[in-house]
Amino acid sequence: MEAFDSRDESGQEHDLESGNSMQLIAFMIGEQVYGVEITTVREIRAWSGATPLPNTHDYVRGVINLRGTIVPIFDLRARFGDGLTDTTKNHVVVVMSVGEKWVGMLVDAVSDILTISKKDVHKVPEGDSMDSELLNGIVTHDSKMVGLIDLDAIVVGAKIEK
Amino acid sequence: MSELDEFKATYFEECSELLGDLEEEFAAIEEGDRDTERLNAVFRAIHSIKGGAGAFGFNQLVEFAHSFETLLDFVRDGRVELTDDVVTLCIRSIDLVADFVGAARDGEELASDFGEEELARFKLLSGEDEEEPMEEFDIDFTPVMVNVGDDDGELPAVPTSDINDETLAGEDENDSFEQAPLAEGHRYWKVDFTPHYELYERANDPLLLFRELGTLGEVEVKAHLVKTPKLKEFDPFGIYCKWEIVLRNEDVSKEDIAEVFEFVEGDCELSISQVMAEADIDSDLVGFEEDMAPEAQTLETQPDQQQELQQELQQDLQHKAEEEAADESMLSLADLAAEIEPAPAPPVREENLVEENKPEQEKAKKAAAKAPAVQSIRVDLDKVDRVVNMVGELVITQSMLNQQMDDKIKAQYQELVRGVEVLAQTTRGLQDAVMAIRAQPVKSVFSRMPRLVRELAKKTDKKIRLEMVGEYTEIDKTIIEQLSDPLTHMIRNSADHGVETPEKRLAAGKSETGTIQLSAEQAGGNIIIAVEDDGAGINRERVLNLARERGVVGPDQQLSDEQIDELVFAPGFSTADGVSDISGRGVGMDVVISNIKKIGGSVHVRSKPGKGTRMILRLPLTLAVLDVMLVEAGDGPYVIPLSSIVETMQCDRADFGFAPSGRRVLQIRGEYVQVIDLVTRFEMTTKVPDNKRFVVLCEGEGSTKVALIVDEIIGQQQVVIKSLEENFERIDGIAGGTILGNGEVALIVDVAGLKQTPEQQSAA
Repeated sequence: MEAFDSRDESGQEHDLESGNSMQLIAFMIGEQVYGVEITTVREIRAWSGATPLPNTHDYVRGVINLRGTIVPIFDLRARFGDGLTDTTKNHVVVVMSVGEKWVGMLVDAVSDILTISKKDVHKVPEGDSMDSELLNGIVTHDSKMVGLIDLDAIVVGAKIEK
Repeated sequence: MSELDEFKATYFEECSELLGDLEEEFAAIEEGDRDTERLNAVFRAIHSIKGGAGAFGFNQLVEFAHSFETLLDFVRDGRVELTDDVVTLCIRSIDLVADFVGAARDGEELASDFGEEELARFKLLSGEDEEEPMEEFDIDFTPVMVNVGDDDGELPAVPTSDINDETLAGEDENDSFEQAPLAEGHRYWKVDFTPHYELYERANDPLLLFRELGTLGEVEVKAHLVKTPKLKEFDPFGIYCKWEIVLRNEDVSKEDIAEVFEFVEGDCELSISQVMAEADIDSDLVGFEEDMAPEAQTLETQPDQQQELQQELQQDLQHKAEEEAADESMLSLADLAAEIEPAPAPPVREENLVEENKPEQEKAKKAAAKAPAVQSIRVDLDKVDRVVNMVGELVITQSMLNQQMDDKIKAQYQELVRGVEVLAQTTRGLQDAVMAIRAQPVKSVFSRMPRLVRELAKKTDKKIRLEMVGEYTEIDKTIIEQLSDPLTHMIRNSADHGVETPEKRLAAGKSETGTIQLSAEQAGGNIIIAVEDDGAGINRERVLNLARERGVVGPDQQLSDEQIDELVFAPGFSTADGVSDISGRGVGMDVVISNIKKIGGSVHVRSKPGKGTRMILRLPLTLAVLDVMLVEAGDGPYVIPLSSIVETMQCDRADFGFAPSGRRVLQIRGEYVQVIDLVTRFEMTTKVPDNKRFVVLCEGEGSTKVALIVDEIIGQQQVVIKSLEENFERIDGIAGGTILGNGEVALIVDVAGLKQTPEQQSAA
């Protein structure tokens, strides 16, 4: 939890109850900010290596032991086509639930908890196929663009079919 | 009604056990074993099924089971001869009972004429006209008057008889109730009901019976304490209670009442009589109570207590009761009846209630009582699994501790070393004990097979004998559950394709009757289950031709005899000339393989032309913990199941060669073995030079060997298998994951899944 920054937590709970807003966990990959809905996040932990999985795409960094269960780790930078993350102990794994499964996302750092209004979510502009494939939408927060990650799309097709 | 649901679940569990027993017993009976004990056993089983069904109101099942039971009873006392026909009918009927039970469990309604044919045959065989007591009663009923004094010698005949459907009829013939016509006016039914200890043991509940009676008319239930001992001798599990029920409905027949108690016959003393006036009842009662008084005098009377409370209390206590204690504390109704004398009437509702709440006294009594007769408990498999999993983790933690202890620690902390050693021992013991809980004899699967063979023999017009060896070999329950389908397919295959027709057998100089042997034995960490027939063996020429025709085998590929034999397990493969309704569609043998692989086992087949075929299942003893060898390949740790490893050697000592296709092969003891380099197979890189690497020779699917090349061999250990699919998906060549002592994940190599097809290899 060391990379956890919760300075926004108290201030922005305005219309959570109304169902018009949602809270995101925002994390960084390089300069780019991405977010996932906070309810999907199970755990945030420091990177401590993973056992590589054969016959999977590069962006599957391997599997880790999460208190007795085996959880796969996806390198989000590599998933967005930016090459493998050069991991250090300061890198962070965000464990999330996708459907019934738990998966970990390797990111550079967790930056913030954001409360956004659902009506502020914009469609992903056509053009960049990787972005429109892997993002659900884009919101602007503090004049920064936050990509909302489509977890299902990230996870699907990780295995190399022969 | 969650409690009722629980009872139901227990009942259905029992039913499936009983049905299994029935099958087994009838298999023996069909073999010609006409031991009366067997007949008694089947009778009891059907009776129990019927009893529970009655309690839950599964009427179709009750009716069918009742007729079945009647027939069995007649068979038992020789009134119906146990011909082959009757046996066949019975076996068929077991299926039907199973269907009824299944329908009841799933809450389905079967067609009203389901099983009617069998039902009709039961009735025909048991000569319904003379022997259906229930119907007879309806016609010939005469009101009777009870004369308790005379019942002395007669009544015990009822309770002491075996669980016996005839009890009703017997009662009717034998009882000495005076058949006195009653005066016009008020007539009541009086039911004296004294439960035996067994009644509670069979999970019957008087309360339910009384409620059922209540549906017949207005009832008044009075509980009486029979022979209640002194407080300090009071056994909380004893039976001190009897009931008298007055049913105020003249239109009800004696049989109607008897029917309510049908399922507790033999487990209670019961007398049903019609009386004229209230006075009679009271005076009977009075005498009864008075008679009890001497024994009960030290007890406090607590008139305010509700009888239901007492009833329930007694039941609860008696569920766990010890049989002997119960017998001692019980007084038969007949004895009582003999002693009854008129006496002044105490208030009818008054109850004697034992001070059951004093724990010291319970304790004292318990200590005095002999060891309880309870020998088994039913536990949810889930709960056992939780223990198994935890023990698995414990085993691993323990082995991790062991690894952490270097020589320095060992020299410095000897007490610690000793502690860890004890821990290791205890953990091992705990693991064995837990595994033993899950282990069951394979008999539960084997016992379904005789019948299968019988049916197959009939359908194929062959003569087949099934021999079973080692059916008490114990194996994990989960594995047993997975065994049924594969074994069925294997035996079908043996009966259909293996064993020849009697004519062919005679022509080949064999005995007319073919033999299929089903055997189980433990061999090291494995259970070996074999199905062996003395039939014609696999026709290799035809198998190979068919395989080439269907493209399973390439036109130029040369196969050894063993490899050809293994082809029978290829998907969609069948050598049968005609597709019979038994086998031959080519589904089946590949099911065997996939089911067995799923539980970590392997299948082999060996055949000798003209002599027979032997199919062997090799199964792990348990699914929870796996003995493995830890190796390193590329940048990751891998584990290989020890059960599949034949030997290991250093690469520079291995004799590699190249097959004509250019593939690398390992030559070992005159055998050429396919080589798979884990690093290249998994598309990794390694810095370990070739000559420093290791060969792990494994036995893959169908006993063909495969040589795995790894970077390093680290050692043996036990691991708990973890699913990879739980959070990811299945990966070819990987059977799952496991967590090592240092918390790292290691992948389990699926040796059989690693083997590449020839195409993949040539492409590589």
